[in-house]
Amino acid sequence: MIKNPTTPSDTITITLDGQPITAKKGEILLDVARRNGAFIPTLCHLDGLTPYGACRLCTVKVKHGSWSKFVTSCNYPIWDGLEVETATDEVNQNRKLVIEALLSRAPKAPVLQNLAKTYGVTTTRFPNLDPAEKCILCGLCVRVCDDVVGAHAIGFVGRGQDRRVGIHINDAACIGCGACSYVCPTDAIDMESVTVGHFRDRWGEDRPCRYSLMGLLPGSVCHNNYECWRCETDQTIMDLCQPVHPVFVARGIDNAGVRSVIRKMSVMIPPDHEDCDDGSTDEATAGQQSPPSDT
Amino acid sequence: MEPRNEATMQVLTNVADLDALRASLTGPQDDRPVVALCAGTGCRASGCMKVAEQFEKDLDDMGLTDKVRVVHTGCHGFCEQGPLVVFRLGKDQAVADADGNEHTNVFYPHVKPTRVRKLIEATIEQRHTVDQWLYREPKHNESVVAEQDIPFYKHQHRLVFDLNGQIDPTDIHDYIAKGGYQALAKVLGEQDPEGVIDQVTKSGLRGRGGGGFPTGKKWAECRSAPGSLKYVMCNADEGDPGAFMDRSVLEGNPHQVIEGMIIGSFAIDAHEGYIYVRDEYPLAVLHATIALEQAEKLGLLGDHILGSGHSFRIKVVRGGGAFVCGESTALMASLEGKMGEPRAKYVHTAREGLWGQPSNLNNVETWANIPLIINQGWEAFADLGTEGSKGTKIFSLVGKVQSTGLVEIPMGMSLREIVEDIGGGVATGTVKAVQTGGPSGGCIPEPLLDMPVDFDELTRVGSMMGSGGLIVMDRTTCMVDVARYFVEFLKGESCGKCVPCRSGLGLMHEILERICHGEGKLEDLDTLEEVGQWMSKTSLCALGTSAPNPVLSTLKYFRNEYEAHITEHRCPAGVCQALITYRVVAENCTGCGLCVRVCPTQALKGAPKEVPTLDPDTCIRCGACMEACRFDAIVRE
Ligand SMILES: Cc1cc2nc3c(=O)[nH]c(=O)nc-3n(C[C@H](O)[C@H](O)[C@H](O)COP(=O)(O)O)c2cc1C
Ligand code: SF4
Ligand code: SF4
Ligand code: SF4
Ligand code: SF4
Ligand code: FES
Ligand code: FES
Repeated sequence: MIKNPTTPSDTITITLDGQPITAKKGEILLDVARRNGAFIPTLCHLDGLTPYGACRLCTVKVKHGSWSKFVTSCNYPIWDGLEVETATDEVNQNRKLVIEALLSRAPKAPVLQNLAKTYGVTTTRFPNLDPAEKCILCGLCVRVCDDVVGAHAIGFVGRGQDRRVGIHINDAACIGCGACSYVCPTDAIDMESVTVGHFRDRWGEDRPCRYSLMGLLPGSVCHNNYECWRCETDQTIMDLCQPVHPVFVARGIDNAGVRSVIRKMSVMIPPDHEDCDDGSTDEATAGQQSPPSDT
Repeated sequence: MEPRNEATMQVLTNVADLDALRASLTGPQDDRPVVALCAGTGCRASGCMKVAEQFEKDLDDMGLTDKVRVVHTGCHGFCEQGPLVVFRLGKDQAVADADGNEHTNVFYPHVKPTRVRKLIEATIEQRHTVDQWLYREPKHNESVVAEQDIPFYKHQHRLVFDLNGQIDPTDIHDYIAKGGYQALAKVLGEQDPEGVIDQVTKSGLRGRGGGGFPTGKKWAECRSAPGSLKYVMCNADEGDPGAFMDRSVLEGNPHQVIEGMIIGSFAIDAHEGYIYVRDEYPLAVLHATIALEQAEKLGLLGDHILGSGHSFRIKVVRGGGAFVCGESTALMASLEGKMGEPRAKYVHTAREGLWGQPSNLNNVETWANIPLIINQGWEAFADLGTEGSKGTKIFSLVGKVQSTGLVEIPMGMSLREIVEDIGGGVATGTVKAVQTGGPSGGCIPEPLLDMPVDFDELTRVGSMMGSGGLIVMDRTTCMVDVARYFVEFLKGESCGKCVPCRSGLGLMHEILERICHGEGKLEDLDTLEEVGQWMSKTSLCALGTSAPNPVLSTLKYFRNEYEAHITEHRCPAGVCQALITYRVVAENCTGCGLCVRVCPTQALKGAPKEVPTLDPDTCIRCGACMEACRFDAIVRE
């Protein structure tokens, strides 16, 4: 993306954990905060996907004069004079409850165990309604299928505690790309047993290669019964696309994809770890005078 | 359905046409006696359409069809007394009551088809009341003749609801004859959009759908939002259990809502509108649809309304069926054909709403207030109410009060006045608490009932105005059970998108169930508070942020009841089945043996003339024995 040179009226000052920083009006708070070195954990956010605001883990406190409010930083547009607290006791207390609640759903998921360790959550008071369940309802799979793949094959069904991902809500639409499984933070989608099985049934004898459905190898046919792990094409494509999922590459959003992988990892890294930002700190500290670096 | 005068359904091309139509409608025919028969949903359920048929038949038999005007109106708000019929008579048609006093308004509750003939004869021919069928007010059991003297109505202040019991909602002429669309004519003929917004702002009108957001401010934001395609919507989703004010207004007076919307669309510069109606409201859908058709025929909707430069159309859309679809962003998603679930509103819907365009959503009652503000002037509207809450509000008054129904009161009236004067108080003597605001409102204890009805005051004490639910509770209501009940409802209605609401309600429900079964721990109360605060601070939409209210407010005002359940395993109100026991009081028992016979599980045993014994293990705590005993010899504790 090419950035327009900032005009003075676009540039605003906000206070981030006591430090004044400049940013552009309307930028998303999470981006600005991370760029400036703040640690804000996220579970339902990935660059390149429509913000969703479901996990509430990224909640911070915003203030202005006597007004204050808790907001989710992943979708909050900033404005001039905003004061932000990203890690006070109050903010962390909210986070602990999110972690505690999600831990009851997916107690074994490494991403949650790490978060629990980071925030000192040791037990959960929330009931575990289904021990076989791993999904934390972050909606990443649904959005990647909608926004990146464009297949609109899966969606949520049910409400309240009965909410779950309807894998193959729209059977015929799934192209078997595996992007949903790839973005899932808790490995709740087993492509091999759920998706590929379906996929075989659907195509019968006339089997297009999954990469051809993604638009990477037009016209290619699968001779391996969709057992991609013993397929050379799969190996080659995977190597070429690393570390990004091929569908991101196919959609020409590899940059976002790369960042998303890093983001995916960053939630597991404790706040004092040096790798917790996404590498774009230089750009921010250099401020508005620096030439556009992100081309 | 066709309006009664097809000849007058010609397009009105300017304000003068509308005035001329109105003049032609208020002719001599209006001198006939009127039978206003409620044909609202509540009265239909109690059989009013049979009564209506009987009226038609009997009037025909008696040769009176042309001499009496029968109007099938919308809900009068007193549905528990339905089917109800009100005779409205001219001065020279007045009827005499038993004491010889003359009346021009006679109210009959619970009308049956078999009573119709006699009612017509008495009222129209013999000119007297039928005393044994008059309404009897519950406090002193005295009969009351006229509607306006019935305490339930007398203490109300009906503005929005004024025309409901008077006009036929399926005939636009009825509305026009009563001054309908005059406000629209005034706005289109003489005013500019900014001026309209200014009046609404100065009137102090705040949204009646729950949030209480200042309406004028919302309109102004939408008007100034960039974009040429803007939408105006009416929220008639009304998912609160027990609430039906929006249904009654839309059903009984759809044109007032539509007129409000047209005025709003002019102020905002929108050209398309939607009325989003709860799926379970077939009559409201029907009446709104008929009203839109008729308004279009008269050119009050469509292109160049009343010859002005303003064009606007409205469609009726049936709701998605979930409580949360009433939330503004969920409603818009549902209108777009997506799953009805909320999203963040950090960018207001006034800027990015329906299909990403600037949109303005208001509640049914909010819209119905607009023509009143334009007609009476904002000053008159602002004169009514408190500093921060102006005008009137319709409540759905239910629970342990003697008279229940829809009540419209001026803002600032005390809750006590509503309960005692309008509702007739509670039969058991004292009110324990009042719950306002629908399922996620809070419980306000009796000592606070003198507080005025006001958006901010209600929030301050831990409840809210909500859409106007008002449930009266007495000593037979268990506050822990109340909290459990509402949490259970909300748990079933949470869309499940965000963690605090989904998981928080799940945990709260589990804890409250345990407490009601006598298995609670004192730490549970801290957890309830902690989780409640978290939900209200961090949930995505107002369902989640307000859901803890029933729990937090009862914990605040009735903590002792929670503690009794936990530490003494006792339900003070005698509601929680697991915690109550029945006991035979030997001193009162006459040995009649009635209880022994009614007990379904033979938990009571005893020979005739002996005090029976009660086996607590066999007893299922149904209470049948206590109800049957005529000597107060069985007590619940
Ligand atoms: C869970 C939930 C349900 C709601 N249901 C309704 C409803 O049935 N009718 C309504 O008018 N507003 C409802 N609201 C409030 C709307 O979101 C919105 O604030 C309102 O329609 C705006 O109109 P107003 O400004 O005229 O009040 C609901 C809000 C929430 C959070
Ligand atoms: S595998 Fe199917 S469901 Fe999953 S993202 Fe790809 S198309 Fe969508
Ligand atoms: S399956 Fe995975 S990605 Fe999809 S909602 Fe559940 S946790 Fe999120
Ligand atoms: S607060 Fe409840 S209803 Fe609202 S978005 Fe969250 S889960 Fe859905
Ligand atoms: S409460 Fe019911 S079951 Fe128990 S003793 Fe009385 S009648 Fe029998
Ligand atoms: S709500 Fe912001 S990351 Fe989930
Ligand atoms: S429906 Fe008849 S009074 Fe309400």
